[in-house]
Amino acid sequence: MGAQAVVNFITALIAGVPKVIEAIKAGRDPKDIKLGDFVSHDALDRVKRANQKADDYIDNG
Amino acid sequence: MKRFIIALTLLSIPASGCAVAKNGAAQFVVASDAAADELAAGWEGYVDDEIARCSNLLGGTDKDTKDGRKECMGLAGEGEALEVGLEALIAAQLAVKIAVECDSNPLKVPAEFKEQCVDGAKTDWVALFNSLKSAWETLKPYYNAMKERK
Repeated sequence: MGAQAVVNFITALIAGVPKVIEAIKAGRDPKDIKLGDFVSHDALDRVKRANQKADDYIDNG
Repeated sequence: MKRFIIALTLLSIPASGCAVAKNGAAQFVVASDAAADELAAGWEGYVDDEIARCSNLLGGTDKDTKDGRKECMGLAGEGEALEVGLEALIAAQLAVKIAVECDSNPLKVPAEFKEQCVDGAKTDWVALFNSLKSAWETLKPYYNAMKERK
């Protein structure tokens, strides 16, 4: 395994470490934490919730 | 934000070499995560502001109807475009993450992704880099619009 590959891998994962720690603290089994937990799923969830909020306001006032 | 600026600088360099593309793709996954979070925060705030504005404007008037509220909100499909764009970005990020893990430690790649591991020498890092760049280019106008609203 090349040194550069290790650097790349660690660089790419470092930003995701807090999310993994948070997930473990929340009681999730580390084996269940997927690769996708490192990426922008939170942002997508937040956008979906905001869109639902907008739709609810339009529908119900 | 600094990481995003770094990534943008990287993206200004054509992915002409495998090593450049691999480095750029890995760092861009990290930077685009931060940018996506910023984009989501901006969108949440904007929607809240628009709901408050329209409530104040229409409340108690005969225009406080579903059609009236929809016209007032005027989100023009931006929310749906953000969802589609973020889904594409996540797919591109995930492809890079899997490729990086396949390259560095294929034995620990989760079973659901293992079939995506290919011989490291055959990984098309330029294609992965370009897919990330393309996904971000779709979102960038909304990111810039969010910045202008602040």
